[in-house]
Amino acid sequence: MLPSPPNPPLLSYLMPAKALQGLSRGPSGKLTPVLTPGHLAALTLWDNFDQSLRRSGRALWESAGRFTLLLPDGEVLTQISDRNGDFVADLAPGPVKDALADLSALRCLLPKARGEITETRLALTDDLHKTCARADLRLLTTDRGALLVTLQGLRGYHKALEALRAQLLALGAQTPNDLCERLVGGKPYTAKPEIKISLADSAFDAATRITTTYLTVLRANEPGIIADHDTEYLHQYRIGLRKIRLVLGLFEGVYSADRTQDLRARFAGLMQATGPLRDLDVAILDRARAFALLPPTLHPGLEALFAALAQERQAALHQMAVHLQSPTYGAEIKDLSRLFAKPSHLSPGKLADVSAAELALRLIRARHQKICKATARITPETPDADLHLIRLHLKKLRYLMEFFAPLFAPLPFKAARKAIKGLQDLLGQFNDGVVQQVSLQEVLSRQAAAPLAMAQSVGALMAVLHVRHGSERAAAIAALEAFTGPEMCAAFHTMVSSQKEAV
Amino acid sequence: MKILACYSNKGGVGKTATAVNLAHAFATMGLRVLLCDLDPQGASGFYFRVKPSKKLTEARFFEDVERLTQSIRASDFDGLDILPANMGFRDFDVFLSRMRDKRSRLKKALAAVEGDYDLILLDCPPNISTLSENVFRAADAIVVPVIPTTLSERTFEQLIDFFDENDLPKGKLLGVFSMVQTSKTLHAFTMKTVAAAYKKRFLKVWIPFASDIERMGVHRAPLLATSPKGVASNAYRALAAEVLARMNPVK
Repeated sequence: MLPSPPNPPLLSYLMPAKALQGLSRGPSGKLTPVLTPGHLAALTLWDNFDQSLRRSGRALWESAGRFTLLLPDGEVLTQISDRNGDFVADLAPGPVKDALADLSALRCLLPKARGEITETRLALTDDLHKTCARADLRLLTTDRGALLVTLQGLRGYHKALEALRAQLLALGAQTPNDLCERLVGGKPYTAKPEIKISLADSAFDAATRITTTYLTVLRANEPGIIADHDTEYLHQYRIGLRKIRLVLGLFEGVYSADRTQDLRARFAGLMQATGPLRDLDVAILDRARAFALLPPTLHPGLEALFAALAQERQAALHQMAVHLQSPTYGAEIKDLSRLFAKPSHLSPGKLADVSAAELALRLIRARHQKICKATARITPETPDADLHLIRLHLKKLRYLMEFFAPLFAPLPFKAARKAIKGLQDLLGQFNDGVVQQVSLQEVLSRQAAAPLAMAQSVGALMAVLHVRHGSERAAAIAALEAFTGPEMCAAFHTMVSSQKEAV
Repeated sequence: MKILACYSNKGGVGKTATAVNLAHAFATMGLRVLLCDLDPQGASGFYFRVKPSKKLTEARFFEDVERLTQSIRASDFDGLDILPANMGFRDFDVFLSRMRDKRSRLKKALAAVEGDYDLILLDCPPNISTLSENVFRAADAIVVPVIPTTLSERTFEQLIDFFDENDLPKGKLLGVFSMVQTSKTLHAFTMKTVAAAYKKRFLKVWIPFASDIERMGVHRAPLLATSPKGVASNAYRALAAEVLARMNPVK
């Protein structure tokens, strides 16, 4: 086997702030360090709520009218900080925007820390005062501090660059990819927190741990929903709720019947409050697709439609914010959190002591069988609503598998999850089309006097969606049949059976 | 990649000052520039404080791509690199005379850095030789500094004759009046007559005689860096723009 090529040397290093003094002395040898006076500017460190930049080893900051992006290999990109909003798509074209293209288009950038930055340039010069190597020194200060040193080699002066690099390493240089962590601190939010479930855990322990974990996710998303930074806060809030409700629904008998019924009703109430805003978010997020489906002559009607939707959304957002800030909600969510924080307050049911893994495997197999049977019953006459039910089964199956992921061998688990996710997306797309036709009709009916252009565009959009309905339904059914075919079933069976033996 | 030469068969006409300041001006315009010093006196390298590369002999210059590229040094200015000369370059002619394709060797050697630069600027020694012929063939355009005096005018005529005799494209020649002293009647008269005689060959921009330019040797830096608002700096900026505009149509 060929040896793997060595990693190219880093372009930037993180240094202890005190290293600045050592750098000003320069490397030993004939080169003389020359420091140009630094410029102090205000600093804002940006990332999205998921801290995707921090997780990927990048750091984005704004100072003196420019965005600067540090990449994991230490490359530094900059561009003017002009923008129309705080989403990546809103940034002015430039290398920073290009390098942020992988971030979710639905997540906005938020200031994660503020402070100051001092930018200084270090040059190593020879006996003719010719610069042989350079470094940009950036001292970033929030309530913490970090010194970022970016090397700039000059063609033909490789030895000088390496001498400078050696000096940095001697002064304690480290890789630059945890700059964000150093400046922001704390642990970043995650929408999918790790839930440690072992073979020894009881169903009661597992259900309580899952619920406690997702209650934290709910709480973390509340401020973002109220501030309306982006639509993902509500989406993640709802996913958290859905997962809790799934556990309460499927782990029947883990808590006492009364307690289960009470919890189901309370979490259903929380979910219900989110419906109107989420429906409008989904409709508005589909704006680009709607415009792409209709000819430009019908776009004015779509503009009117989306303006009406935006107005409705403002009202729904207000209602949601009032709800989340209400004393009733505050008391309810605190009470639920307290309840799950002290499981002794929860009354165990008759299945409380059953092994979590055993119960999970039973539920996963049962869910898979339900999907297979429902798919086998599909005929051309099967109502769309039945396909939607299969989609919900799939969603539950995936969540169950994700909760108990540590129980499965990684490879077959990943393959099965990927297959389910792909299938869910297809069914989701199909269902969105169906729901959209209904919701468009509803939007029209909610208008006191819908303008003619809007009515025409809505009509045309419904017609297009209707035409696409057939092909999307066929694609969804074909994918379902493939998923429930002998090959996938065998793979699924192997994955579950091997674990059953372990249990 | 375009190749621009700064050439005159007469010495002391401001050739190196023009090459150095043009190269820097092009770099400030965002071009990636290599200033290649072909004059064994190494004045271009001196202005940028770059030490001569002792290992780049005449043979290696034309035959050893790796050595040629390794001898390039970054200047202190973004986008501008220097290929410094050394005294060994005085033997270029002897070496070239022994080679096959002796008139096109320079172009082949410079192809080694194709892709690294948008523009290569050649600072040439003041003579008509095999190396000069290489320059004439390799360059897309040739800036010829001319002091508006009778002798310089005569030298320019000789160059035109040489191009005619050797069937070289005269369209490459871009005369530029250099070290102009407007207070001198002779300068004004010569500029008028020469410009009229060689309408297409002379650029509109001219470079004034300026003490700033003379002091470049003291500062060892291009004029746009040390005296960016001076009259001469403005002239070099304008010259760079006019040369670029003229170069694009030159094939």
